Amino acid sequence: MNKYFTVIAMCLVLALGFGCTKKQTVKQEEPIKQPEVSIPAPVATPPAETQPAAPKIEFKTIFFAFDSYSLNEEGKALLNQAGGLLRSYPEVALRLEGHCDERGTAEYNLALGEKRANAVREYLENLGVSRSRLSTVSFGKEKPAVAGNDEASWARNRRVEIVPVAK
Amino acid sequence: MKIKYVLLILLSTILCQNVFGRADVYLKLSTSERRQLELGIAPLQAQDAKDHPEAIVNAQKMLEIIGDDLAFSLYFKLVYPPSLLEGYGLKKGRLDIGAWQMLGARQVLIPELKQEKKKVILKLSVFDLGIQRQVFSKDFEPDGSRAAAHAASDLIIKNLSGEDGVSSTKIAFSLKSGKNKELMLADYDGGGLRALTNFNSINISPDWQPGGGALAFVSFYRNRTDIVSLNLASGQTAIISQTEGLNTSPAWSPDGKSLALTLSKDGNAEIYLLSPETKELRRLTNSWAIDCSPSWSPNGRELVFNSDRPGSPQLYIMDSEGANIRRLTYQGGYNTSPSWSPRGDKIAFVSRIDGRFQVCTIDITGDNFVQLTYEGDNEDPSWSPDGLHLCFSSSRTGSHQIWRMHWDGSAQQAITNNGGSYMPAWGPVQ
Amino acid sequence: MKKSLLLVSLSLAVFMGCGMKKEYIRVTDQLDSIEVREKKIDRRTAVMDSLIQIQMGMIYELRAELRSLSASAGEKWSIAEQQQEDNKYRPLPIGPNQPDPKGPAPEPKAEVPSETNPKKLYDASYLDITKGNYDLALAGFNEFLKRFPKHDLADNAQYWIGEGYYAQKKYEPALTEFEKVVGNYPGKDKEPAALYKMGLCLQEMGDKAKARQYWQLLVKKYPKSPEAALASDKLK
Repeated sequence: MNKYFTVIAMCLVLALGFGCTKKQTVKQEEPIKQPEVSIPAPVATPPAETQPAAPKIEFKTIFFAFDSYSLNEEGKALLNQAGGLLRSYPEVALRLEGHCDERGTAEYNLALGEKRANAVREYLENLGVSRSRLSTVSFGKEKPAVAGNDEASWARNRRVEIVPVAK
Repeated sequence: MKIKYVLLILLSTILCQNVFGRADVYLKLSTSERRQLELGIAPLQAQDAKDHPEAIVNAQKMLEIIGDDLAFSLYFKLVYPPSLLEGYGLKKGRLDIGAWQMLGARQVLIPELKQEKKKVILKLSVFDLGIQRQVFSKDFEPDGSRAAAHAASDLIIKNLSGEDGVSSTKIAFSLKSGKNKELMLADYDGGGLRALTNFNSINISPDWQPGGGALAFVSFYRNRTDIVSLNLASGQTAIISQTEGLNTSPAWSPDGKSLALTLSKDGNAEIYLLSPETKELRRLTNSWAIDCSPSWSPNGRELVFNSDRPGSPQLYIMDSEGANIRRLTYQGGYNTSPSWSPRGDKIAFVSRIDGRFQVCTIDITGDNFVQLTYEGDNEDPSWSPDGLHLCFSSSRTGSHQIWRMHWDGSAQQAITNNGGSYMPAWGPVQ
Repeated sequence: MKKSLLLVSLSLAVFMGCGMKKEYIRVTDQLDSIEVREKKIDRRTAVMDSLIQIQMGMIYELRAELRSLSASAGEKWSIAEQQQEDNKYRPLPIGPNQPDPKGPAPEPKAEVPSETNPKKLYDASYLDITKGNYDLALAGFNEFLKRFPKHDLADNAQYWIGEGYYAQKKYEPALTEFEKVVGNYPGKDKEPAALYKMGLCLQEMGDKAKARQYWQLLVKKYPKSPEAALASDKLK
């Protein structure tokens, strides 16, 4: 940390020292560049309209076990990636949509879907994403991603979909 | 080879015994717990209405519905004569008492079409063979309508048993159409089907207001859960609850003054009591776990609800202040969808048994866990207002239909045939 | 003179021009090198920034992992506590009541009349409560307490007597009966619920101050009971 501040301080001193030259004034207008850590270029959001379009970043869906809202290792890894992205793009807000498979009681599944969405939200919050950027909604078993009544289909329906929305 | 055959025969005898054994139990339950009246049904007498063939057809249609109603009511054991020829069981125009007594009837329902002035009327009367007197008589218009037939059934039930019949009650349910689910209304036997909503969205969890004038339900019309009320007479809708997060599982209290519901505005699914008039909202549960699906005891003092606080969804009972919470179910790892019988003694619910979902009942004391369904997935049980029957959704035929049965699991029959039917709610006697 | 003046000024101009050019080159060189150094610093800052970002990310991830682990451990603890609590209500015998596939179900034994079977009397009285037959229920539970004062369900029966009055909005007798739960069966299952109900009775009777006292006692004595949470809401 110390080194970092020394560097910044030096930069400041240099900038001040040469503030009178024309070249430096040009330099100053350029923003301090963000590091490129294998992150795709940010997509500019259009100026605020009545319905601002959502940023075009895609997030992977998080899957769960039957009657469970615990994140598994794969889910955590995917959220860790998402957390990095979200720290770099503070203008992106997310809607976390919790879903269940077709088995079991609709009312209980609505609550379970919300627990899943909440689990993802809490994890992202702990990754440093502000709560104000994260909204949740549960669809229970009402909106399956795939049809079919076998374990393969059920497994793909027990999920939280992460949808970027305009803030 | 021979040994194999012997084994097969042995096996099939064992299997048969089992099947009959179960049927026997049903019979015992239905008959031993409830005394049924042996009611003879005489063939329609229509000499008077020879010039009105349509009246005869209509009357026959109504009698068929009445017969089904009376048989399903559980108050009667219907006795039909061996011949349906007109005049059977009559001697010189009068009831042949000896013939009906031989058949085991104690009372006989006599339907007659009579010409009165220029009108044809359907006269239904009941003769008691013991006291040898007419105990019921009423004229009906033979218009062939289901409503008139159901009304006649309930009148007969009331007069002969003293109890309120459920023949005129309705069942509301949720019907899938494309990506949406709209609310439907049908007679308790599936007749007279009509659509209640056209929201172009998912609409589920209908719950009847005690008077039967309105339904509360969960609507996704804003692409999230809101609780909406629908006035059945005017077709008007009103928003009941739109808090942040879940607004689900509405359940009107028996006095109609408050609505129990599930909200997650304080972090996770908890049960609240809302007074729609004063807008007062009171929180009943306080747990890190899911609490949902409340159902009222008939005296309106307690609620059975679903909670996964023991690590799996189980049923609990609390009073309407949220105090005195105690666990009801311990069998299996998934018990949901409780519905408290209007008779007070039993709670119907869904239990996951061998990976499938089955309708079961349990006494309010926690004793007497009984599985009522065995084929496919069977969910969302709802009691008839007299507590003698249950409706539920079943996937046993390959598509989800609404079914009904008696309280002990006997006489299971589908009342819908269009598939994609879920979450039935049996309406009150009106 | 004029010529020489012109020459001098010309040569001066050339000389000075030369000097200025030199100076100009020196300054540009200097600027260039500063620019190079600055670029280097920029690049280093960027690298360090990204390193810090990665480190921060790792810290965040560790924090998220830790919190999710501690949350699930907390849940497991709550579940264990709940199951222990639930065991109090587990009915006996356990097991679904289904036809025995191995043979004909044994005929039910002749039932003990309810007057001498405590469980039957208790259950029938509770059923009367749920049906709203409060007079019958009160008579039943009072009979139960008279016959089986030492029974495990005695405190529950006493609680339901209080509830039987409370449900009829008879708050004074309800208060007296709930008081007996606390007084006669201290430390038993129904005490927290009885304390909470005593507060509710007093509130209905208009004695809010005393109601608060009972709720405060409840929160202090049984902080983990569901009734304590309800009482805390009331105390707000």
